[in-house]
Amino acid sequence: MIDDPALVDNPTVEVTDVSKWFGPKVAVSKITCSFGPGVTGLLGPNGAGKTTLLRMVTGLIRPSEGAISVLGEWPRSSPKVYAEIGLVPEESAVYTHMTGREYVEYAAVLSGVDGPASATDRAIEAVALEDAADRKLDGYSKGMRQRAKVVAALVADPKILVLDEPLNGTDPVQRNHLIAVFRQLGDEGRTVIVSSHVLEEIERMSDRVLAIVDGRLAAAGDVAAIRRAMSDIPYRVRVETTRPRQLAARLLEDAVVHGVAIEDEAILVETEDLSSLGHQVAVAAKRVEAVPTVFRPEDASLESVFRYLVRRR
Amino acid sequence: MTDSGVVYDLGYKPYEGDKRGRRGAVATTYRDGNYRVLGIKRRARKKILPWALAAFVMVPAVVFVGFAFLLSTFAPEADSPFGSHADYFELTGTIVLLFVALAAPELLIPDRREGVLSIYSSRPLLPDDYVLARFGSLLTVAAGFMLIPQVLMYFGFAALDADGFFSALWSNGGAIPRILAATAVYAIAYTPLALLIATVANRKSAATGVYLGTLLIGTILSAALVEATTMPGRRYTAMLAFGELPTHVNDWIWGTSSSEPTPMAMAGFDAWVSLLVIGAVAVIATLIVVWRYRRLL
Amino acid sequence: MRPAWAITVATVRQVLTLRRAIVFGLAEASPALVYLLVANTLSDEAALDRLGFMILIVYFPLLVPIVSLIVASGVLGAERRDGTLSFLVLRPIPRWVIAAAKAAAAVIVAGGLNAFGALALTVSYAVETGNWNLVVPLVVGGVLASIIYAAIFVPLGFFTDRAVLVGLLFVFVFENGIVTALRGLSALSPWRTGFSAFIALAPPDLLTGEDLAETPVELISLSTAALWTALAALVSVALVALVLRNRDLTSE
Repeated sequence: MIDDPALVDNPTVEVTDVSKWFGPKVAVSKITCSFGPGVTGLLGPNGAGKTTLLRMVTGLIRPSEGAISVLGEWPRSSPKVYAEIGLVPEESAVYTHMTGREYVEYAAVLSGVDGPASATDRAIEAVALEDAADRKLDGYSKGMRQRAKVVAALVADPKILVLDEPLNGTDPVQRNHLIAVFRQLGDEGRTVIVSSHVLEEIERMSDRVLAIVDGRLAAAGDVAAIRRAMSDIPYRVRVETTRPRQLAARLLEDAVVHGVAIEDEAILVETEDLSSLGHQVAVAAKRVEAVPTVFRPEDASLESVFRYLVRRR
Repeated sequence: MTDSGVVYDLGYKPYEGDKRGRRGAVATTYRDGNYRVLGIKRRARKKILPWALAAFVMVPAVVFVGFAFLLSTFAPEADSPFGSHADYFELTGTIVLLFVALAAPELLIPDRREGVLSIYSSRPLLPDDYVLARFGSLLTVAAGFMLIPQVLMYFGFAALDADGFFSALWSNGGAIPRILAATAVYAIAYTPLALLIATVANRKSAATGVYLGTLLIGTILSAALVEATTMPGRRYTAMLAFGELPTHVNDWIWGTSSSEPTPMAMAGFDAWVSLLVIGAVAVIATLIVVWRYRRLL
Repeated sequence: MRPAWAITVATVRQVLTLRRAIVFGLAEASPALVYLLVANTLSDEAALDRLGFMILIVYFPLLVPIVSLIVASGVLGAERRDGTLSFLVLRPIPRWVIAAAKAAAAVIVAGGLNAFGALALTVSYAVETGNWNLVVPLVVGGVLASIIYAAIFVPLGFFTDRAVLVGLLFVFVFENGIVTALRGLSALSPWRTGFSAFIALAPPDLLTGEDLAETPVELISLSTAALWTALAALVSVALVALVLRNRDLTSE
């Protein structure tokens, strides 16, 4: 069992000490991580290096340093690996002279799928694109093109799915549907790598997150574990109560409390030991005869984790 | 919870300067077009072609004037073997043709392919304004390519004239309207057709190739038709030699003959007919481009 | 085979839109139309002379190169610039198969269009004179030249978006300028290779020694022309395959 949260047991994709630079600009710097069955979210601000990393994983560009293996091989050296990889690239370009169905069937034929026509029908149905399938891609909206690209990636039933900002331009209904599809694919044991800078999407889709900031791996693991690992940043907890000042004064005496602030009828408590604070709040409230009505960590979400990570650079 | 709201001034300030409206939008589009065809405010490699062509256009003029200077110093009695304004238009006409073939697609195609036409249409800019601003840019730069070396030659030769600079300027003053007229003819002959092809083509390279191919092949075939057929109306096929029409008019402006007879001259047409064809093609091409952009914008 | 054929068909559809087919078709037919108008009152000898003009001044030096380079430079280069290249290369297909399929598409479109032009011109001649012996030679010559131009401009179109401009400079400055002055360089001129094949296949009494001396072409044999063509095609496919395998396929 591997200890490092950036690595997984039984990886299908391994990234070892990989860097990539374009002239003087370093896009990715010494990243080591791996991906396995399930959905892994690749999180980072714009320009962090997520797309560059994904392009290296899929063999579109070569690392300047380090090594990448997909199912044990470097895809560019061994094109047969591509039978197991599906990519939804960030670019919205498609073959505008084709219909959606022709586009997907083209992908199926190129991937060597048996029975490309029936595989196309199944894939189109899975992403609910039947209504528009026989229209030219030229007339598709951005969200529909995105879905067409997802279908084209899924038609070959790949073991590894690489999705670069897959929900760009999709409406809320389409987004929910696609998120459900990606989760299901992960649950089926496929390796799904999805990159996004939309935190809510990552939170909903992935069990595991790799955060990239300025081309470097800033954090890895599940969200709660990453937050716990940020021991230099105290938790902020909101406590609403009937007697905020009295409770605040009492909590200040406690060793687990780093600091206290009062905001209207609520107290914002800073602590490095979230689990102990719960008990201390209960004891202190009883002593001052206050009734706590809300006890809520304000920054255990992915958004706050992300904010801390970006701010630390 | 109250119903009132307040916006705090966190440093955002609305724009309080002049809003230049439609005229400003047209002027900006025109200026952007000039920058674009010359590669100004763009990467270095976008400058290579236009400035190389500009150098090709200027260098002979510098050589002509330089040679005239040497002659005036060492052999004042001798006449310069080259350097007439008429000849120079024939020389630079080909280079300007190539420049227009490259510049016209650069002006129109990227805006369509990159999907930024909607940005133009969200401004106080009508479709006609956009088209005319782009025309203006290409006409201006193409005319500049022709005019600047002519001006250099005009003042350079005047400076070397034995009768004195100002006297030469005055006595050769008749060349000025001819220079302007010939410049306008070449610019108007080449520009609208190039923009028309750039309006219908989706790729810059294809537009360049089709434009040059149309002019070259059209000239050769029309010359063949004029020379070698007896069919009625064959002489009118000379009008298909679009590339040679300005040369025919240029010969008339300067009262000279070009090195090779143009199809229109071979067909026995006067230069005003060539001028009429140039004008008609320019108007029709412009109208088609405007019509197309009214649908796009 | 199926993926290769699918790539070729998709590329042909992408490159040869209806609008392009009409424009290029008209361009290819125009020498034939002009020839018909020109030749209808001429003797057989004069008609042949006119045909020679069309072939040596319009068809080979202008039409074949311009059509070929516009078509070929867009076959692969357009995919890279449009952002659809990743769709193509992330497939379990050997890189040389992708390269060959793209090259085949360029040859089918350019060669097909130029074959149409050759057919139109020689059929016009045959209608005027009853002599059908030049149809096959000119079609073969046009197609061979198209293959060599495709071999040059498919990879060039990938490397630069100015491939058509480079091509026009190659055609007008090198082929129709330098090589015209230095006939010994004829082997480096694709259209002259096609012309040599045409002459080799045409009836032997078509051109006299004096006629040949006036052409800007130092002729090569049919086998040499075919060999050059095959070599150019192989080198081109190998180069494109190498690039697809080794080079970064997207920019930063």
